[in-house]
Amino acid sequence: MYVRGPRPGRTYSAARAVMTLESEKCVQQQVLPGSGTILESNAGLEAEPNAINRDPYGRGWVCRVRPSNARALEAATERPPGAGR
Amino acid sequence: MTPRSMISGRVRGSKLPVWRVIDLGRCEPVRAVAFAEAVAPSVARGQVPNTLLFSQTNRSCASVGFHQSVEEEIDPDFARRRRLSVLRRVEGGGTVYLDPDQLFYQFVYADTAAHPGGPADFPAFLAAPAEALRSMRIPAELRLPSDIVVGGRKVSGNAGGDWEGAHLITGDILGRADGRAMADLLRLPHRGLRALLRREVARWMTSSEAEAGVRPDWARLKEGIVGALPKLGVGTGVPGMVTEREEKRFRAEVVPRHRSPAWLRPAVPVPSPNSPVRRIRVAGPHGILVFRSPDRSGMTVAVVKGRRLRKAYRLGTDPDALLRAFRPGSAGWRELARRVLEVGGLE
Repeated sequence: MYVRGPRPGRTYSAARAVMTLESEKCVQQQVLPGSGTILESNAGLEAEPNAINRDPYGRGWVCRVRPSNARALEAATERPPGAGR
Repeated sequence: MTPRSMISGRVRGSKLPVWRVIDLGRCEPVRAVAFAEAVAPSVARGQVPNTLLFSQTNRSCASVGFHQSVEEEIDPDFARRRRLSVLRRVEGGGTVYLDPDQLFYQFVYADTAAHPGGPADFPAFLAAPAEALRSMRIPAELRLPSDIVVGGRKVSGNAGGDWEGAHLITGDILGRADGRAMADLLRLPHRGLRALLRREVARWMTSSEAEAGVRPDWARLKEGIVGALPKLGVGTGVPGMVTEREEKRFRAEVVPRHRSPAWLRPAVPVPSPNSPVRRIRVAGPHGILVFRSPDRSGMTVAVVKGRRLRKAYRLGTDPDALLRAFRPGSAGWRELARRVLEVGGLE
């Protein structure tokens, strides 16, 4: 498994690839749900990519993003069925 | 030009989508490996249908995976002696040796609910080359995620990727297997590993010639792959041409990028201290992991099947030293088995 994370400081528009993730010999480009600026990227992830599976909300975090349009991002984020706004 | 009726069209009487089939013939390695990158934007924008490319290189070359660096992967002396072109493809997987006795196929397709990209798409597409081999009396079968094997030995390697909004699956069928070159191509942290790698490659690789006893009929193989697409529900192959836009994109964007040092030598992350210094997938679950000894006095070598340790060796610091085997069940064996499990084997 390999990960190449997004570059801090860069601004990405929605649907543009920000990072690549390779698993089972397949490289997949990952996109942000909305446009935004990458504030911080998990540098440790490239050396230990399996953390994405093992500890996605801990050591496997990918990046911190400042959304360009918080409302658009909220609309693009999936909500569990029945959840209020 | 691609006729408008062909784009997202269907063959009369068929519910299956049209696939444009282009045979690039014998060509330069960069065209064989990377022309799909010029096709991908056209497919993603709906300017041309999904496309199946065939090609064969006119000379030997090496190709490393997207997340690999040429510098780390390729033995520079071997590449110089053989005058190999070295390329970094946009698909995943490990380093491969490519020569004119192999047939390349590349599926370039738009994102749909049926084919959303990723490893889940491998079975649907790779069933076609497997079927083509079977039609030539070679009992090929899929070994997930992405190999085609005969009797457990690899006859076709495949990988996937995303590029400019389209998905790609690329692979090759080995007509003849130059196992020695496949093993000697790789950069190794110790000379003592070379003989071991040659043995493993010889054990786990095969070719259509070795299986069928005759040189492969490339035209028949290509027909077999195209002919299998409708049966598999993928689509209907229709002969097509490269567009001017794709040709221009290939010359102006793809070739210069593939020749740039920044593309060939991307920054490779520093592995964590417990990670293997070398991880080589020979075929499917079979491979070799090399670790630094805990006391830094040499290296330990694990021959693995997935996460399971098959053979274990120790290498001293002398570059001419031979491998010394650990006895199964010994303390050294157990320690190495633990490290293999800890890093997830070949994962």
